[in-house]
Amino acid sequence: MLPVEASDGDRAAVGRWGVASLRILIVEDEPGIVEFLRAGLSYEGHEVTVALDGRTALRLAEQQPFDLAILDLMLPEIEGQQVCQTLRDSGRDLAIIMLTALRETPDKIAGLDAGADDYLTKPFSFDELLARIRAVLRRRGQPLPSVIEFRGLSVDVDAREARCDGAPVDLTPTEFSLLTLFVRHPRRVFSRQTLVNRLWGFDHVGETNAIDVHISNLRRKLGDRQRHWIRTVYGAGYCLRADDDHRPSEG
Amino acid sequence: MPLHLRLTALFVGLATLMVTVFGVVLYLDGQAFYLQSTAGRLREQARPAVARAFAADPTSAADLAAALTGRDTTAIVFDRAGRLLAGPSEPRATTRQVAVSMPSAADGEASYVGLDGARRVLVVVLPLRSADGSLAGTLELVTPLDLIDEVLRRQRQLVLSGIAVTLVAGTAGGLWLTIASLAPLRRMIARCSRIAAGDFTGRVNRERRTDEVGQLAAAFDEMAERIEATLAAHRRFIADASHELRTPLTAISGLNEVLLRGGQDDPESADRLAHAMFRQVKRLRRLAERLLDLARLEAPLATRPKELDLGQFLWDFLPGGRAVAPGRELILNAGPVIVIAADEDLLEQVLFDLVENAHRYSTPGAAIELGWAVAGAGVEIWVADQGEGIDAEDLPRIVEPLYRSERSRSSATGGTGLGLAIVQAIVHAHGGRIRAMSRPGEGARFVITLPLAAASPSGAPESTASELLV
Repeated sequence: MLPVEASDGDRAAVGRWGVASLRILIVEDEPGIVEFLRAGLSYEGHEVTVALDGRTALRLAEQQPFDLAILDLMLPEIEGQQVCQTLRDSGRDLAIIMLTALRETPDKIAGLDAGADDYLTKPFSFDELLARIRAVLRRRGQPLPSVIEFRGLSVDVDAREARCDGAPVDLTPTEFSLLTLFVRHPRRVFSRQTLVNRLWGFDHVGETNAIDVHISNLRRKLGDRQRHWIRTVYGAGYCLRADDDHRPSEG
Repeated sequence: MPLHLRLTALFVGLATLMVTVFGVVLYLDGQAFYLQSTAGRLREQARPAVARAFAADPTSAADLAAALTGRDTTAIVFDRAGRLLAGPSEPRATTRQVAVSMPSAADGEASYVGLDGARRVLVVVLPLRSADGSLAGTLELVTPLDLIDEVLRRQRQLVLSGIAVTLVAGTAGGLWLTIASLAPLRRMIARCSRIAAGDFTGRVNRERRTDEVGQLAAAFDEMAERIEATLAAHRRFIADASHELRTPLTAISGLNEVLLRGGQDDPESADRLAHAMFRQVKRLRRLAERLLDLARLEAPLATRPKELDLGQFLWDFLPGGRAVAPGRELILNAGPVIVIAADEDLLEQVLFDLVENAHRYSTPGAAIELGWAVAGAGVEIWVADQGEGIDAEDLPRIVEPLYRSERSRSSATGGTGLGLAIVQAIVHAHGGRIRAMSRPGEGARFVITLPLAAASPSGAPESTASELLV
């Protein structure tokens, strides 16, 4: 299993750490695309449900509430556009992002007219999908909270402000990104390679040891000697943990 | 020089030449006729008087001249030495021969056109003989040609105006005719450049003419339509191919991204993501191979036909066919013993694809039937299944590359959408054709018609269509 906190739908547990999680319905019939959407969105801390066809999607939407649906336009049984229309007609308040392999404008218009909030053309990057999700929620007046908290640590991603026990901490952009990543995914162990990928891009070439310098600077600025926010997991990487949390890090 | 101008110039030039030659010949012939008949008339009038013996003295000469001088004829008598014996009272300018000299009716006679001052005159010279038959003098009959000249002048005018009318009317008519007949050619030129720019609208043979230019225009229209259809099919193919490629690409790039942004930290998730990527890459590779197959088959001379005993060939195919349709019965309905010319490997590929197709889209577990029959100059090989069949709207397009009916779009069936297109390409390379027949709910039947090899049929008695269960 992925190190996913919210896979069991325990939203309360997620809320306790201050990370906003969404209930997302993926409606897609291509197994490869389903796989990465599920893995990626779960990793981001969202609660993911998958429907492989339109009929199942409508049935699931009737049984439980969702915050967001990611809907493929071309589906077996019932077309994505029809699913979208039906969801909207039934008055369900959820954001809908369409996925389409068609670049033609009429298809996009039809999708938006059917009630979609946004659309993405395949192939798309996962980061773009996340950005679209944030944008759609913002437009719908349900923005993901910009302030993320974990115990005494708080990060305001919009204002780019970090606080430790209420006191502002002055961080470099790299340190801020690192802290945001840790606060978003508390207790998850990040390998040095993953941290490099997330901070400097997938095509970054260089020593992963460079990350150690930024980690040690961040620790110093957070007063880590007393609190031990960021732990080193030997042979694996780093993770964020409260000093009063003594559960094992490897899940 | 444009074709219509050249044609018109040629046409008008020939017509004018003909009118001119004809007019000149008529004019000259008419002139000769008028002169000769006038000369003949004068001679006949003078004949009785001339036939008498001539005394060669002024009195008889005066009598003769007086007898023959009329309203428009003047008679002049000369003696043997050419001295004037009798003539008109007023002296007149000597006539001299100017133009036409006519053949003499008899010895010593002559006639010619002369000038009397400014007038043209016809002069007829007749010999005068004494009683013993010796030449005693000459008689000249002179008559003005005013009337004949007037007639000839009018004829000249007629010929000239005929030439003028031919020139003007011929040019106008010729231009109109050639421009009208060559209009499709000019439209063809215009359409060619539009087609070169990618615009296929409009037709050349608007009038639906049946002459040669019309036939050319119709052939051109047909060619343009076929090119357009081919281009449209290619465009659709490229669009479909890029769509088919985009799905695994999306999956691969997404899986890769999720793996890199953290999925790699957990061995189990890294493994799942990597395997999902592997499956998508495999699918992409299969798609690329099939596309290459298709491109190769569209090149000419892709087939290496040899003579095959069809029954034996299908019998040998069955074990392999069963492998692509696991859990199904393959039933071979034997037809007559027959030899066909076909590329063994390619024909096998056709059957694999058709059986796989039948396996994928028919009722699970139901039997798939194969068989063959002689039909006209060809042999029909068919593969039939039981199940949903094909919708009428899908039938015509089912063999198009990457076309999949909406129902079969679901990736659960796992086809590349290229199988039937490859089948069609192979069948076409053999000079055959493929038909799909179906009624929804009654299964689908694909029939391949191949031309018979020269050596067949082998004359063996038709075996009964026994069902061979495999």
